[in-house]
Amino acid sequence: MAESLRQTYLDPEILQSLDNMKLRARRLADGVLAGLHRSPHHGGSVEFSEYIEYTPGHELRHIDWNVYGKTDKFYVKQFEDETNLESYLLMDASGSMSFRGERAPYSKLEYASYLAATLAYVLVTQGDSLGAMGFADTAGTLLPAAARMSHLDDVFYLLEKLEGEGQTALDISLQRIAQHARRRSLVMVFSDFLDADEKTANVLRVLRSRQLDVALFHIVDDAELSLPYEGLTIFEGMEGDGDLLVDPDDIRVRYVEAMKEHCEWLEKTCHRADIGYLRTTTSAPLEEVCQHFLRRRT
Amino acid sequence: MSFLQPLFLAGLLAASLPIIIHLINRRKAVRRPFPALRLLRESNERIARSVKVRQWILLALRVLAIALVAFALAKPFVFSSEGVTDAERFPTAVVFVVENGVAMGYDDWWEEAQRVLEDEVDELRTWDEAALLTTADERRVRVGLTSDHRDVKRAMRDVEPSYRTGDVVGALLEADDMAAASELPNRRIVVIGTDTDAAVETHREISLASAVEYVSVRSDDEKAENLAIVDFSYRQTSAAREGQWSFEVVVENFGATDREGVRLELTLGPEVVGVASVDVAAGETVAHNFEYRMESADVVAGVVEIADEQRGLEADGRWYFHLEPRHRVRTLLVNGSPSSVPYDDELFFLTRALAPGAESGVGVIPSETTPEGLRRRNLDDYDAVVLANVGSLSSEQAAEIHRFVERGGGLMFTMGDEVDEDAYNQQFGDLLPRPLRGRKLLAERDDPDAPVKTTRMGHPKRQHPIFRGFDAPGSRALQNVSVYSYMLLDPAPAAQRTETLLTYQNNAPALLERRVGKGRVLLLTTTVDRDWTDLPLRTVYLPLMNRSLLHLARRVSFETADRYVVGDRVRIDVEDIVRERAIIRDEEGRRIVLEPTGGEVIFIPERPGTYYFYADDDGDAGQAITSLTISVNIDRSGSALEPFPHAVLAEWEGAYGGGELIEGAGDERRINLWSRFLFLVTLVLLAETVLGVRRSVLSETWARIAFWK
Repeated sequence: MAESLRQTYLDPEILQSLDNMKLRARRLADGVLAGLHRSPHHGGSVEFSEYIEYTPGHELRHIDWNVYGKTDKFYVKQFEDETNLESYLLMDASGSMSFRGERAPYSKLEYASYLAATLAYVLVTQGDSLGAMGFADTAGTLLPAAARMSHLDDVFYLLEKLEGEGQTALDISLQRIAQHARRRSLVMVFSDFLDADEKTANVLRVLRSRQLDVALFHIVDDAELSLPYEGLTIFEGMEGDGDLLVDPDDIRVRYVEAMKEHCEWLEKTCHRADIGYLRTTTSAPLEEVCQHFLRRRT
Repeated sequence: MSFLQPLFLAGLLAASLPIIIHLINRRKAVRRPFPALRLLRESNERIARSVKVRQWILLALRVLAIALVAFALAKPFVFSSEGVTDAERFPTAVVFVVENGVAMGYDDWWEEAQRVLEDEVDELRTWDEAALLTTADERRVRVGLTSDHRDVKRAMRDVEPSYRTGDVVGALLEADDMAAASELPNRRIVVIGTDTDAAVETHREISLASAVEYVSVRSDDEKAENLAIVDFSYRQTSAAREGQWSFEVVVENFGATDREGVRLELTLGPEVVGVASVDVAAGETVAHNFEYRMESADVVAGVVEIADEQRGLEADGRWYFHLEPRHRVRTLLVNGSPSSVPYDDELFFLTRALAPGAESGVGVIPSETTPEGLRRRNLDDYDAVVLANVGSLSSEQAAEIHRFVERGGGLMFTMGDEVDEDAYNQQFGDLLPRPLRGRKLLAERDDPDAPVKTTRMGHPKRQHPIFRGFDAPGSRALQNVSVYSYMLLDPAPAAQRTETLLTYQNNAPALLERRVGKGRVLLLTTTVDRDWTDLPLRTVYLPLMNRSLLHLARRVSFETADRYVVGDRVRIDVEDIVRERAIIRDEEGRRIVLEPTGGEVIFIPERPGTYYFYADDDGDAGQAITSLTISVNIDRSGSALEPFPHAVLAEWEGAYGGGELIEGAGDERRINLWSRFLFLVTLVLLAETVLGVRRSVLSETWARIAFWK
């Protein structure tokens, strides 16, 4: 089953393009496993970093006597330590995520799942530990973080089981992750954030204050941005919020402005709270979005 | 309203189609799941009202368009009595006569005239022709008949109210000639005027070939409230060079309201030197005297004005003048034969003829002396010197007189028993018009045959300034003058300019003139008392002597210098003063350059004010010739602003019978309306298109326009 899941979500071409990517977290966590992430703490490792002049307190064994022989000054060798990363995928599986525009290749939930699976694979193959949780009208089951390749199958299984129904319990889910995640963990939230408000912003700020590295993947459909429909239309809410009879042409300009304002508000809020933010449409190539995300975190 | 095809009115039922379609469309709405319903709702709440209004308007426009089409197909029409005369149907040549006289300066009459003209021109049909004439300009035609009506409007904007009274009747006749020359079948004259009698010669009978319409800028029954200075005079009350002056201002209230505390201001040069407040009852005149002592001997331009915001006409509330302390001719009379017996005194008659001019505006101030007393006189204080029967003078005195003439003074020799021809020829050879030969005695004064033996004065040179006034009836008195003796003269040297102004009937010269330097010399070959002639007893004696001395002092041509009105032809004697050109400047710096013709220049002032004359150069090097300064005012005859009898209008309007009915036309004609309905349909469809265009298209178009800008 695990193999079939891997087949479902791991496009070999995508993985090929991401093969050499190195995820370098913006804030390096203390870890036990030696990996590829640079640590801010210099210590006794095998990889030389730089020389600094000796001051009382440094260990004498780190003094480079060869340099002393050449310059007649004491210099201490500095080394880089290596660490691992704990990451969580937080997947919005509410009704609005099942929306798929007429010209979109995926629904928003499908797109978010592919994106999450790709990043999960990269992280686990790097040796980082990864957990996941889906949420809709309530917070779903939390898959604890693990670094095993077999754990990746569990993650894929969870992603496949997301259905896209009900309302959004984003705030509750964020609070739950905050309770379980260790300091400096990376929390990646995949959602359309249509219900995000000041309360959501506060919860995000709380997560950030707990030393969690939070990254939001704002998934939108092109149709949501441009409202391309013509003729009198009854728009039905996807989370049980009623319907609206309107000519889209009458409200298009104002709606597009409102949507733009909402996106900008979310982006600004993240920027102020030092939270990573990446907005993508479901028509954007997945590999480019992944590369963009990983580069930004390098 | 009637219809040619009333069956088509059934098409009105089709007007319900848009409503039906609207209702059907509402039912055909597509259902579509959409996640961002909250944002859709917010957007819809903001514009729901305007969207509904727009939809209702659209619906109404569509219903209206279909209804109008149905109406148009039914071919509606009405009957009208308009447009059945030839004047209404055929092209018309319209000549506008706009009064631009001084009365137009009252209140907002000029703005009203411009507005009326614009309205009248706007009402013209495109096939009509229009022309514009004004009443107060030398050249009345501003625009000839043209089909480009904008030319008339443009020309009207360039017209300004004149300071002349204007001649409406003259312009009307010229307009009638212009209209008559047009080839268009209809002709009409529209007079836009102030309805004042001064501009219209009501007694003049005229016949017109065109219809006349008079449009008055005056509101109905409007009584113009106008305060005007109707007269002004001044005189020097002391004979001193800088003396006390008295100014009399006469103010008249032409309005229907009594006016109290009307402020009068007298300004001399840049300073207000006198202020007064007078009360003027309606229809009354009030005179006020200002007294002022002049400190300077220079020419001073002045103005007296009514400094009251409600004075009505601006132009007649001011009176311009100029003062010249040496305004009158100061003459030194040298008595060569004084006598204690008054009638035998050489100057007895002359001094009385040249009566002191203190009471007159312009005159001669004589001052008498003897040859001995001449030494003590400074000739620069005088404009003219008369040597009356003076024997020989000392060489210093002769040289002084010579210099006096060279600098511009006037000198007059009169003969008598004391005159020594040889001494005169020797001392005054450079000044005398012709050398003296000796006395010619025709008869003694008490000779009983004297009437047979004496000669008489002949005909003067009438174009000469001294004798211009002698053209009046009764001027033959000059030929009644008997002469018993006179001085014979030798011929003048060939190069010498001498002019004989008057001869005796035996052709011997009686009065001669010679120009020396800047001055003038006159020679009277007989006496100024009764010894050789009875001239002093004749009526012509006074004007002859007065004008001779005024001519010597260059006062003859401008003795009424303060009485010019705008539009007068002002003749200025500039001989020997101007070489190539005379320059006239007003106080605001406007300049006119004139070339002298026959020793004089003629110019026509178009604005009231004081004008200064310069010879050849009015730059830094040029000095104004103070004696030629003139002041010009407007004609006060129009100050009353009284309406002229409207019977005159009836005469004008009656001169033309108006448009005739077109042959074959009934009292009414049918006017089809369907073309107008179709035009309305076009407009409604256009509006529907604009309103019906999707907002996205509109906003995109607007964005493109904004970007293109």
